[in-house]
Amino acid sequence: MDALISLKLDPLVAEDLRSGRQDARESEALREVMARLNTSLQPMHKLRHPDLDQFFIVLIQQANLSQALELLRKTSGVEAAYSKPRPEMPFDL
Amino acid sequence: MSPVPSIPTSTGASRRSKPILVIQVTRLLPNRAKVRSAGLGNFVRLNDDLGLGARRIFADELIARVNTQPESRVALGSMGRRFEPEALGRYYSVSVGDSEEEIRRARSLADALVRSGHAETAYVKPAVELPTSTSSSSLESQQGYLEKAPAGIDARFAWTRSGGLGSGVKVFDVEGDWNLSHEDFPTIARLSDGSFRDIEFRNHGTAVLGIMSAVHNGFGVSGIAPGAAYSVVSHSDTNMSSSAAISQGAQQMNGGDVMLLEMHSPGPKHSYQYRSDQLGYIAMEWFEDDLVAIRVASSLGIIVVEAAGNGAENLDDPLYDQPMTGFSTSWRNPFRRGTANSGAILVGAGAPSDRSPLSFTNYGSALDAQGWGEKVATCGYGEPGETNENTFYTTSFGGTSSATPIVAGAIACVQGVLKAATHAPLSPAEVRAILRSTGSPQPGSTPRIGDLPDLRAMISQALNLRASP
Repeated sequence: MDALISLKLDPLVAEDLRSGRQDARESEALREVMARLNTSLQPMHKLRHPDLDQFFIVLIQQANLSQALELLRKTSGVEAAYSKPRPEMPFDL
Repeated sequence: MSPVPSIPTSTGASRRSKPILVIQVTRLLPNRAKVRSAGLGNFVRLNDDLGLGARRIFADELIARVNTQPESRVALGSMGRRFEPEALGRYYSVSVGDSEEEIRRARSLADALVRSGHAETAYVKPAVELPTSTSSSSLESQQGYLEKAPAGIDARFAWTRSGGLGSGVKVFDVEGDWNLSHEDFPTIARLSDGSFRDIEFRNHGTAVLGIMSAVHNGFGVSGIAPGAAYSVVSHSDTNMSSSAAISQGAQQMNGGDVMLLEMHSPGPKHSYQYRSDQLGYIAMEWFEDDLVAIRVASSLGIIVVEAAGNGAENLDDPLYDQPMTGFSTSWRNPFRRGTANSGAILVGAGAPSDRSPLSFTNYGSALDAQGWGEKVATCGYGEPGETNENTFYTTSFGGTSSATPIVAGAIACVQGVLKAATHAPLSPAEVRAILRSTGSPQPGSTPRIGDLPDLRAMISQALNLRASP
């Protein structure tokens, strides 16, 4: 099963990616990392808000998760990169 | 005192019809003096004059088919002495209320129609009931959380107030899955399909919704705020993280509406590992993307009501000041409130007997209120051997799962009362302040989970707040 990475990006990088510009300098490093990982990123939220617009998700094979996180955390424009545990139901067992 | 609001009825799942008055209008026979005023034309005029609202039972298309199919005429003819297909066109029905008085009046009308010659036959047919299982008898007597404070939240007081059923308020539930076809549910909108399709998720979501939304119809359970408009949003493993589900819900909501977060996640105490005992599980707002999504929803005036989690954790522990590896440098521990305040209402699980914290509940200064964390009667789960999910009920739902919709339902009632009185609904900060200053307290020496809402006190304080200049 794929793992889901949550990314928080610098606002300028996020804006570049949302605009779909392939030649933007601010997001160049991140686009290269995505190519190396053979994956892509998508905006996390449909609701537009400056605080939400910085968040993206990346789907990655579980086996490559650690490497991907390490790489992303070193990438220019990445403010946060983590894979949180899947939520569960808070009912009393 | 405000008038008692009407109780909504189930839209698609009622098990009982209304009684009906069945009338077969007299065939016009010109040579019989008794029926000079009879016949269909006269009945139609009578129907209009009396406002009966009578409707034809058999459609013209059906009568035409009977006329053209000899086997139908033979079969129907065998049921009586002489059968004429046109007789079907003279059958009418009139809907009758459930009360003894309404049924008595309908019977008198039936007698009068026959005596006056307007009808050949007229009688009141009792309500038709569906042959569903007996599990759907009323469980309301076991819903102690509806009772007066301090045992319950005094939902019945709210129901006597205009808007007190939550009318005019949207309530969104964010979690895995639901059975939206349950017999005790109103119409509920599904905004997204998640990836969790097993019965555990369905039972859980169904139980949560039942506490708040179950229709007041004499069977099953009675929801705290059945007058609200309900929607559900599912997170998933693939393209819909919990925070994305929160923002998707927020997009459809207005200030004063209520969003329920029925999730918790493994936290740092046990290195974010899944555990069958749920120890160390925490509220979603601790994770950076969820915190931002909740803050945005709160900034829009949406009341986010969040399960504190079943990890048996003290959320004031300095452990939670340390970010998860990979969080941004701007992240701060939301359980400290202050600048990282999510704005959400954080809910713990209390004992129905004395409101003391249950062994599994998280606790700490960030918790705003508690709800019943065990022995909660609601929809879902069913009894061993039952197979029809649409009639599943339980009397043993628990966890911060059951506590959170009790608090969310109470908030929906208060917002409904304010809206009905043309006041602005409460903001997230106002809801938090009212929950923290009213309610039935927990025992003094126990770790903080907050008070059990008392709707009588909440409504009074909310109205006073809006009445003050």
